[in-house]
Amino acid sequence: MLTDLGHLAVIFAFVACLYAALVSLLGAQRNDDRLVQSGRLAAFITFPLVLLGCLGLWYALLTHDFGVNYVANVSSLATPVFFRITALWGAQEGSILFWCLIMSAFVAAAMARDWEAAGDKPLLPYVTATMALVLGFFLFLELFLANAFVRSEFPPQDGRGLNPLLRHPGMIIHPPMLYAGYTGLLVPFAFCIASLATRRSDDLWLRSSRRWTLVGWAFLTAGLLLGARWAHDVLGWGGYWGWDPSENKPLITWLIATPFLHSAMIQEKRGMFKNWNVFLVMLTFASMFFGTAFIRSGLLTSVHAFAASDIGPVFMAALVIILLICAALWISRLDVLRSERQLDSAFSREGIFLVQNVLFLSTAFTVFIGTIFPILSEAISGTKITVGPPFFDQTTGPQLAALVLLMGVAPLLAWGKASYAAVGRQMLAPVGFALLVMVALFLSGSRQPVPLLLFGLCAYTLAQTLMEYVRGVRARMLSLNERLPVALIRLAQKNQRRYGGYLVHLGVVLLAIGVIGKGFYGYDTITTPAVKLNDSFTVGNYTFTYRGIRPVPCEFNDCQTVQAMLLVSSASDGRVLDAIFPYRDHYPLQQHTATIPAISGSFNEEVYVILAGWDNNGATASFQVYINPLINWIWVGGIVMLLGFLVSFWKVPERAPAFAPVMRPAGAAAK
Amino acid sequence: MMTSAIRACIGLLLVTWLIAGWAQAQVPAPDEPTYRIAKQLNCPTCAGRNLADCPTETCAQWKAEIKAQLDAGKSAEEVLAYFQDRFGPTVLQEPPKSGITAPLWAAPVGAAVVFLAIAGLVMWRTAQRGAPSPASDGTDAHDPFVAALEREVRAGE
Repeated sequence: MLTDLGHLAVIFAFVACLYAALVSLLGAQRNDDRLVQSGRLAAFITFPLVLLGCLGLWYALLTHDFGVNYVANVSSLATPVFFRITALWGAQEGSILFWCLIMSAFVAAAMARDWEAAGDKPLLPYVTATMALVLGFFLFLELFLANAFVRSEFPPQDGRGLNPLLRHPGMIIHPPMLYAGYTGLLVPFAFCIASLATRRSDDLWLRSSRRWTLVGWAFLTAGLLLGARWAHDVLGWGGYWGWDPSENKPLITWLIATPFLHSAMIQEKRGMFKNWNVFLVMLTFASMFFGTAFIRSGLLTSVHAFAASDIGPVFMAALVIILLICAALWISRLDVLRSERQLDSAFSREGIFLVQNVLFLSTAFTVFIGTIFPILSEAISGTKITVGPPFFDQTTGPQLAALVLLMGVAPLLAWGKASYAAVGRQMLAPVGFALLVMVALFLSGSRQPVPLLLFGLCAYTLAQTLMEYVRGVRARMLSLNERLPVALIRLAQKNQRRYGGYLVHLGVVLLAIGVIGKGFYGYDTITTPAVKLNDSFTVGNYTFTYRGIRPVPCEFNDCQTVQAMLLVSSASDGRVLDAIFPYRDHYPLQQHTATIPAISGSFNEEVYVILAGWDNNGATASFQVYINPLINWIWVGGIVMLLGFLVSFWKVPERAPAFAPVMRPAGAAAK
Repeated sequence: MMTSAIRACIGLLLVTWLIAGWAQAQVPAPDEPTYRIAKQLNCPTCAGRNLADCPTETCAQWKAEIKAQLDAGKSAEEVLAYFQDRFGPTVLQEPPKSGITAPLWAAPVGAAVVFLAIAGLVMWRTAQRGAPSPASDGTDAHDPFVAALEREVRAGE
């Protein structure tokens, strides 16, 4: 009953979207504020309606209503309450509904803001229409192509249970994060469309949507990191990133949204790159749409691709229509998007941002081509070529390294035209530090040239970024007589965007250190021959003693778990460090085997052990051992990146009024 | 009475244990040479993973095949060539830089070069056209506070 009510609410939400789009556009055309407000309200109520839909489905999941097909597919009597709640996004139909929920939350939040005070009321009808149409499209998918509310005539006694791979905290938070990231980036897109539709030439759309863009970007970043953590903990392939299509898709969007965040600054500060920003925000949106279409249509096989379905063609048709509308709108407004000034010099903040933007895009293109090549090759030659990690590592690696370098140079360059002497002077100390680090690493035995160079690069950028803080803090301490902590806090407060941004840069460098450490110094092996009971084997600095295998109760009683026991001791002095229990789950119902690693070692050197196999009830067993140096810096870097986001985003009361950027007359921003 | 119930429980537990043990009595794992080769091959059943990391049945057969060929005296290259002949280039983790996958490798390099060239051209052209403005002092003109601070720092240096 409640479930059917939820279904009805989703239908109403779809109708509300259509109404909102229609009435808003009509209101804009007739200049009738009542219609615009009506559309705004209609867009707003999609959130409670979709929420009601989700509550309906949650009710069915919690009450084991296996008459609902979706419930029978993603849960069983044995599924605990927590996973029955998260099962809402455990498969295609439910996850589209959940996607709609998050998107409608963003729509409602955008509608609820004080447009009058923000001074961007003229954009309202077009923002409403754009968002309502996009949300309406996803609701259309939910209702007509992947309906989670469909009931079967013969309900089964028990359900199939949640996909075993999805039973991990990382996998539970990861999809909501990614969805929030994508839908957050819908906001700047909608503002851009509205700006074009109203023939504006200023940066109002950028300033109005800036904080939304940041939120979208942060969610996307968090989603990517959690996905990586999940792959590391559950997939048992020893790493954190497998260049799987489902990982590449959000990465491509991230690689386009990040340069957008940077180039938006140029338009705000200098009135330049207007066309470029329109292009980037449209590309961000298109990449999100295209990626979702690809993963959800089952065109690509991936770790967690959704089952093949017929939503692919609908998605593609919608994408083509969206691109055509965008292109038409953009071309018809080229005359108003002229740059307010010219590039004075390539050696300037603008110049280096352009290089950075281009590098980001070529990296995104690289990931894109590698991801869709299987489909391209199949279409052209009939063979589906698989593109593995070696391709991505070799092609994106150099481009990402160049971006790390740019991160250490760009903050030094002034807007307009930078002086070589000033930049050179400021580079001296960090370059010296980098050389010192490289010499120290060389002396400690790291002789491979490439990682040595890359670590040097990271050291340089790290030092340079820290110097930005040092300079600012020192200035405050000298001129305002502030103590160090006060100076640091005030400095960040006075320019949150800037110092938050630098903190994100620091996070990226730390993350890069982890990537380089794992990539160049990581290694793995398999025990050969298999280890006999109570025998030992040594990998790197660690000696492992095999103490047998045993069956253990499976978490939800739907699998057979076999756990191995190993003692880890230091290879040099024999001291026992740890006992680890890698295990293997076999799910007969889903015909799925999962190898769950055991993790040990130190912060700087992770030991990752997988139970690879055994004979004669465990008389002998084999283990896959990965030594992952520095991998933990990836997680630390990720957390620092998100802290940086918080610093740039957090509203300090001192800087109020909320949601009301100081208005400048159109076009006067940078004059 | 009580003890017999406990005994029955223990008996039942033992039986389930044995059944579980029997079902999982053997999971063959590859040896190191096989593992090295398996790392370079794609698994037919685990999408997106290499053969060595995939725990499925089909993969176990492939690994057995690799081991058999190695035992028969074939070199690693010969084994890889065998798999490539049989299943095409799609079986390799790293697509070859020649043949059908050559464009794949060329595309990123081409894109980076073309994109950078376009950016360079744009900068060169605008720099040619625009009258150069005096070099700024490296400060952020739009944040007077920070600008003042930075000037002070420079003066202090």
